[in-house]
Amino acid sequence: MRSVSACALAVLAILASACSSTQAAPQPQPTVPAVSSPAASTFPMTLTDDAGRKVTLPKEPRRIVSLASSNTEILFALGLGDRVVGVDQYSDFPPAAKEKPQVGSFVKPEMEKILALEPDLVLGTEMHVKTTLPELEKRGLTTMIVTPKGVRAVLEGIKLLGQATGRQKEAETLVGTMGNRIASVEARWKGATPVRTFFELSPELYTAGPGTFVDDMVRAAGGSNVAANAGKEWPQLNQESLFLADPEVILLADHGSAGGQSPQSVAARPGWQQVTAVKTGRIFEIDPNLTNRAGPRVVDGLEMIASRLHHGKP
Amino acid sequence: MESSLSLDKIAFRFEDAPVLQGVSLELSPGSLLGLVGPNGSGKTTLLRLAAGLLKPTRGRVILDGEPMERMSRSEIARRLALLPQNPNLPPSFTAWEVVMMGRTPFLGFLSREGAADRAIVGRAMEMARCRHLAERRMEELSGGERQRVIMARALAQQPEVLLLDEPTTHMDLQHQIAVVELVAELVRGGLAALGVFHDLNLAACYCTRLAVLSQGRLVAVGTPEEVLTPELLSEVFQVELCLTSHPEGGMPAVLPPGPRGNGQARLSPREVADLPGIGPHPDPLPGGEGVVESPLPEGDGRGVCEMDGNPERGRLRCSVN
Amino acid sequence: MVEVAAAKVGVTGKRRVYSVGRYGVALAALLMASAAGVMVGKARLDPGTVLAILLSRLPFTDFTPWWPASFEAILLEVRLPRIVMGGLAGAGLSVAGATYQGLFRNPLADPYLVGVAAGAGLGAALAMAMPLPPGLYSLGVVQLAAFLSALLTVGLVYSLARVGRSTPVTTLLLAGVAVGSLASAATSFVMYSQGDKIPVIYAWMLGGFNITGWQQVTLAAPPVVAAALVLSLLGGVANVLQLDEDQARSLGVNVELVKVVLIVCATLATAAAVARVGLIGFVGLVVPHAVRLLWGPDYRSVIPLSALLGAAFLVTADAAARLLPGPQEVPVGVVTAFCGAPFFLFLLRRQKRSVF
Repeated sequence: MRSVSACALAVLAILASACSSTQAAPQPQPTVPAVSSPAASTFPMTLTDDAGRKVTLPKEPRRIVSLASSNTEILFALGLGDRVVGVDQYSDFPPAAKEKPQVGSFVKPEMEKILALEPDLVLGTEMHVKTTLPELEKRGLTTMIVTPKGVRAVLEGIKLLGQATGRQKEAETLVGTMGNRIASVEARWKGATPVRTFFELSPELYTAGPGTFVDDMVRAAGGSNVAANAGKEWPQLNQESLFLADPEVILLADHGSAGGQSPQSVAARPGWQQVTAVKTGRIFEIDPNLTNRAGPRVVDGLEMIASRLHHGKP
Repeated sequence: MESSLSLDKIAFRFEDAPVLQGVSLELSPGSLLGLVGPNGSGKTTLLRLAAGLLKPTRGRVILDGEPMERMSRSEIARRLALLPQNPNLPPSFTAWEVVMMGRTPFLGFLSREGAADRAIVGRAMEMARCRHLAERRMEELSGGERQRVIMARALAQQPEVLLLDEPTTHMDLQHQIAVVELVAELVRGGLAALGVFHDLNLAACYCTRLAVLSQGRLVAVGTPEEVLTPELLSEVFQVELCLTSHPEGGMPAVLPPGPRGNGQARLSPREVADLPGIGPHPDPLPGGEGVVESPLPEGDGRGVCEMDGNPERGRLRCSVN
Repeated sequence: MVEVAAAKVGVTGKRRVYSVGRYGVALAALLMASAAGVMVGKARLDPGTVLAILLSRLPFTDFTPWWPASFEAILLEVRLPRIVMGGLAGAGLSVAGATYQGLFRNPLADPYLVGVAAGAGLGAALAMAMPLPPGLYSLGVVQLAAFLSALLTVGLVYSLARVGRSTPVTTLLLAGVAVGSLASAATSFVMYSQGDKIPVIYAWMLGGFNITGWQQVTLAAPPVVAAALVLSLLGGVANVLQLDEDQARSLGVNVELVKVVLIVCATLATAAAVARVGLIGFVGLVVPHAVRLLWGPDYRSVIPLSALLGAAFLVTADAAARLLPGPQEVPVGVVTAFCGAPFFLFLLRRQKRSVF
């Protein structure tokens, strides 16, 4: 039972931290001209989504429900804000997303609310493949999974979504800008010794393991995740193992919530004084919204992580 | 002689329903008081009150000259032991361990028993004829054996007062008699005992006195001879009983009313005979007559038993002087 | 008075409560478990280094450290407190389990059944959901809330279960289950209404020894040790309670008082353990039964032996969990179930008589 709940915990950890912090100032949005581009894509159209399913869109979607904040952000960035008719409770960016009708939680959206909005496209993530989407499809709704698993995969996700919504051109523009920024971060730290990094989700040392978005971001930013070989996506890192790995940087995603951690509280933990990150004072609170959401702001997150990892370096 | 246990105008109500009213009893050392009465008359309640397990609504229970309500549980347990009717016994505990629990009120806070306690437990088990069961687990014992273990536990309390709640239920006749004789022997040695008895004959045989409870009131107290009268029996038990006397001790003996019944039968022999499935009786009995299968005891002057017809198989008519 | 004191009796009925054997075995098991626990872990420190680090902390020894500072932190700040906490939690849960089983005359009784665990969870959830100043959290306000809430829950269960002057075991169990469910529901509600606090609350409920430090040990040790001592001393009374309440009363036991003392102590032990390391199943249920199977049902020995064996069991289970490869923490509950269940079944099959 515990391992199952541990998984649930980790997922929840991501989500909750995602909505808890508002410290980081919103980054300027990639601006996309809000002109309705003449159909570069032709409907009806059949696409393969991130779950490997064939999705047929009979016409350009005009009433979209997004079940994840990452996809909500992509939709808004593509200038589709007015086509979003419903969002999950964690969709809080851009601020206009908060005004949209909510259809319940990310983990368990409410079927009735979704149906009442009469969407012509419901966007989910990996999380919804086996639970929510089959229910929706049974009721005749068109569903699609966009769930990028890495930094560069986000670009593909944006393209896919652009194609599905008839915003290919906007998507290309956005992806171009983002790709340049990602490439510049990667190029800057390529070949440098990776910075050993611990990404703390909770004071119990839950963290992001291999195969997670965070893991990929840390690597792209010139770091190495100390939990990279922890065997599962959301492990609890053994404290001895953490000490052995001796992280040079600690990123605190758990500073916002109850029992919130701070660089001071981490440094005061018994036995932690010998950890390099503590000795050199490289413990940083980070905005988990930028690191957890596979959306347009992923580049902001990447640049932020890179700046923390290489803090003080030229 | 000062009484070991006395109940002083006890009344007890359970949720506004009176269970006992104005019961006073004295129990002296060396006496076995038998508490008899029909089901629901309050016998067991009275015994629980006497044991301090219930608090009387009115009146007092005095143990050894001291009001029981002022005594601690262990003070009570050092003087008074209870032989419960249907005790729960942990199946995996040995008889020795269960009897040793009788020493609980004498042990200190740490509950560590000493050689003296072990000696007392051994002796108590010998007296209750269960010494040989010491190492056996409770789940391995028969009902009679368990009852003897409980008796030994009560003895291990070295009580001045012993309360028995129908000590012979579910026991073979031989064990019934063994238990009651042991109690009688202890009583002769100075123990004060109060027992609830279902079996009037057993009570009449061994009790020095009897107390009859009916509908929560004490209706008679005295020697078995004084108490067990046909009038009282028919009034209390609502049934005509056949009262005779023990051929050896001469104490009263109560028998069922006999084959004639006591006129209270709902069905006449005719009706019984015509019950479906039984069919018409091939040889209807003459009304009100029956057959006694066993030889009859001799009259002893206290009561008279008369036979009609054949002395071996005839009608019995009993009366008491 | 019945004169039964006279006769000399043999020693057929001798009790083995005092015999050193079983305590020796249990103590040896605990020592071996602790030694194993010190030696193994995610960090593979060789025994020589471990001993040297330990000895270097003693007065009058002179070692020039040849080991990195991280080894010292791992051994002294992570592994040792973890072992001690494991022992305390194992002892506390086992003693509580033995007591609940004895008190309720129910072989299935354990800290979960009387609502203690659920109560502790609710307290912790509330403390984490409330907007308290962060400083309070580092002082252990969550643990304190869990502990108080567990006591309150049991108090509520106990007072609800009272019928007149007595507290029948069946009503106590029913009230425990009902109040426990209520507390769980309330916890869920707190988590639901405080969406952003879900992960912290959840991480706490999952528990574990990962971040156990000496501070937690010093907070948990006094209640666990005190409760275990008192409960061990009350073993004789617990024996008498195995009869029934009327018999216990007529044997001189102040049943109501004893029940309160037993419940408070068992709850204290449970809550002190649970508030530090979360809910670890199986220990409180299995260890007392194993002790009974091995050494008989006498509570005077069942309770202290459960403390020793429970500690040894959890320390061993945790050491085994740390032996598994990979840097991730393996919940000790997985190991307790994996080791405990087969061992328990083995004992159960070997001995076909009733054990309770």
